Amino acid sequence: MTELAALIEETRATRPHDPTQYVSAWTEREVLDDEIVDAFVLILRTKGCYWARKSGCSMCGYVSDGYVSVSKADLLTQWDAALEAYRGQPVVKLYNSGNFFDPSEIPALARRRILADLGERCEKVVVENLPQLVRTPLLEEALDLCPRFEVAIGLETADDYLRDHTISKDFTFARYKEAVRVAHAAGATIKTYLLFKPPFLSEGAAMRDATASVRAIDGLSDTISINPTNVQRDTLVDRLYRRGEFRPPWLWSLVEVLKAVRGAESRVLSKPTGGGQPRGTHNCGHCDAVVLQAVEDYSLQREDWLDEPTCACKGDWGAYVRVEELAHTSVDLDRFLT
Amino acid sequence: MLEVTERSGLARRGILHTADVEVSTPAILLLGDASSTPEPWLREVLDKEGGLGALSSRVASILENGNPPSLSRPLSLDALEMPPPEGQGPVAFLPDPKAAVKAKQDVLALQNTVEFLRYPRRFATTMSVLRQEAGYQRAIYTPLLATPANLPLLVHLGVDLADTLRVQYDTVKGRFHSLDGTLPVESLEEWPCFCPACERKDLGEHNLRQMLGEIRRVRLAIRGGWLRELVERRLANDPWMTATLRELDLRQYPWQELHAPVTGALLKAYSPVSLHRPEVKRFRRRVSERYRRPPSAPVLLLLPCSARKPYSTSRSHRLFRKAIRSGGNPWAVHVVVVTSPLGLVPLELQLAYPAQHYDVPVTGDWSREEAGILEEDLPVFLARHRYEAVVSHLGAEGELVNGLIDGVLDTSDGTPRSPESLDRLEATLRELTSDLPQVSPGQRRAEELAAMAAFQFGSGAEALVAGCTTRGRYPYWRLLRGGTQLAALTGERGMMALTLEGARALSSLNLGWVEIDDFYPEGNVFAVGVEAAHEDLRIGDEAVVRYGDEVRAIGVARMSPLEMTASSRGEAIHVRHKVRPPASSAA
Repeated sequence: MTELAALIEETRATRPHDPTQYVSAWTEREVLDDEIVDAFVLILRTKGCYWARKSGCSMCGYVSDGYVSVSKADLLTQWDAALEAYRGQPVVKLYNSGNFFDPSEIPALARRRILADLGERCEKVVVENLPQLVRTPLLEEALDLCPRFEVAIGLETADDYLRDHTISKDFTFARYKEAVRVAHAAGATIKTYLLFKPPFLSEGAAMRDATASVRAIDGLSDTISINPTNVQRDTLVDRLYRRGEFRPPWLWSLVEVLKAVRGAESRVLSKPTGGGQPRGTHNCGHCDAVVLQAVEDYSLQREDWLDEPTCACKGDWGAYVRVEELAHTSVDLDRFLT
Repeated sequence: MLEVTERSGLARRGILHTADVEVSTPAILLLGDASSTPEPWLREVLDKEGGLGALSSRVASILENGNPPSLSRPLSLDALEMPPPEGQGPVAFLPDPKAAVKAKQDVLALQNTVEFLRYPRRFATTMSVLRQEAGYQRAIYTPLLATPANLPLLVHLGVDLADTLRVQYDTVKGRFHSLDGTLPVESLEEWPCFCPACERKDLGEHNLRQMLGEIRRVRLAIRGGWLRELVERRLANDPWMTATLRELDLRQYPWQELHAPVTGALLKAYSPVSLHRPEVKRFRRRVSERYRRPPSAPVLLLLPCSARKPYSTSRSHRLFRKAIRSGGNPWAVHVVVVTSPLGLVPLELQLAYPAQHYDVPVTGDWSREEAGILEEDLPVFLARHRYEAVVSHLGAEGELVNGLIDGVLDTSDGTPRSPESLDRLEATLRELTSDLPQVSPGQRRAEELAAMAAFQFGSGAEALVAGCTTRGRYPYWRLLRGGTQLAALTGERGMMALTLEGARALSSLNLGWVEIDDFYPEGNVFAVGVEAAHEDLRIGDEAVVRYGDEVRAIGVARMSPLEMTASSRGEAIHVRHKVRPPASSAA
């Protein structure tokens, strides 16, 4: 285990959970065939991602949603409850704080039952997986039951050096590209998550990384979702954040990245978690709602008015980015320069 | 490479030679818009500063080059191994001081330096470690830390390069900088400054001018030897500065002392922190470690200090001297001056730095900490020197001192200069010394020379002056033995300067030496020729230049022993006398 991995593991915490209850479910808007539709988002409680259980990623707190033992019966209890909450949304995003295709998280029988139920009820299914778990037989089985099937992969960055030294995720860009090839060959689509601003990186370097990563996978991934780092509890990022050593990215920076990759072949979007909050991507507090609205409208392909929002804090942001980068620091300047 | 030209403790002035430009240090890198399109006044400044503008834009251009992302690890994760620093650009940004060895650049900085604003103690330590790792020929740069108020302190810690990033950021945040810290600009009913920028209410330019003005003051202070005084004046503005200096003084004493000169400008001990200056601490230590009292003077007389230095030239001390003479056996009496912050100054050491070079507000009110110096030093001094009697003829400090000495005879009763007190002093000394053997001035002088030599050169140096006689009028003495002059005492410097003969004598005692390669210095000795140096040698000390047992020159040390052995450039010894090379036997 690398030192970074050991450090990440050290910050982990587990919490007791009821294995028969799913983590959460909600409805959000999504684009399907150029139309804005409702999507049902469901997070199942499982043992959680094998990598997270081993040491995990520096920003990922989802491991604390997992529970040591979730039996197949428990999982199906969750699923039955979820189906009751389901209101026929055309898109279903099915997350399990881990890997949908990992049978130790979702046993094969449960997986088939879930996919069969979904195939009867919705138009499109999205699940998440590490690239090493994206395999042809599993994809074929899924596509058999759900003809429009999308695999979401948290690539985080196209830069292996950064993924190793800031995130600690156990695969390479090459492995990701192989997964994309396999998925496309089977007939599935790919959605790629990029982590915008991993720890230890300045705002400016993070913008360059996100832009470069989009360009590296443009045309390869059907959809690219830029996730500004939000500070989740009991993570390395959380530990840094509480000491003022990490600042979630500015919304202005996110806008800058989206503007830089306008016209990409892939669909590029961003749905910030905790946007406008101290622990999520944020600006000064006055303009956050407006900027977030512009990001949402852009992401839902409703309207592109990313150039329009403005605020007095935009000057502060410019100085922040420039000064932070020239000073070779990644700490939250406003927690130190008062 | 950075070539150091002047030193003041850990602070240095020098010339930074980079690939294509030369920059005088310490300097402020102008990072940001100011340097790319400078106003006419700034253009003028940059022209005067040689390559500063060019270096600044090279440091700043890392942004435009689309350089690979560099990671910066917070100080709280200093155990986390990070990939080595990028080799690009003129500055190496190190994850920790230990990485300095591997860096190729001549300018070193630490990642996340700004975090030291939270860890002042660690900052003081880290700067010392970084200098040790970096050596003397590379520049230390502290990004984003400098303000006009803390610039003297940064340079005092050994920083060579600072920048304008902090004042630029604060300009955006509406903070008005002065030498006393910042004020929110919206709180200024009138701007407390008359610089041209303030007339136009141009905050950015004002803040920049403050930085540029202060770095000039700092450079003057290094040259003039008053940087420490400047630092002490700024401390009250910011607890961070106080904490940093305190850490340096209390826990980095050996490192500071190594670089503290043994001669210097007026030492102004106006602040409580002055008591912890390495020069002050070193004086006290040398008195307790190197010093021996004259054996023929078993009666100790404690006298107050005087504003005028050396003490013996003051009015009050002339009065005291008269009373001592009238006592009948004056050379059996040993005078020690009680003073703050030095504690105890045996009168024969009154010329030694900083005994005749300090100034202190004399009100007679001793602080707890000043009193602590006497409480610490006096019992040790008395135990070591075993006087037969102790006479206290002091002012306000008498009460404190008398309480520390068993059987002390107080002759002043708090008013040392009153005729009654002086009469009492005379009578008491007569009583104490009349039964003692009469001590001759010659014997006493020999003993004092031995004490002065030991204090200056180290224990064992008494032998250097054994059998010497003096010529000339104190404080200008020539020291001769058997018709050969060994040394000259000069009043202002307060030290003995050696002749080649004296240098040979010191070398044979294995003190004050600097080993060089086998060459005969034609002028000054440069660091490149130095092989080794005595570890007790300090800047300002007499340095005996030798090859093996053979003395080649005598001069004054300009570098610490560490710097002269480690560096490849710069004057190490300013040579006074040198040995002519023997006529070539070949030919």
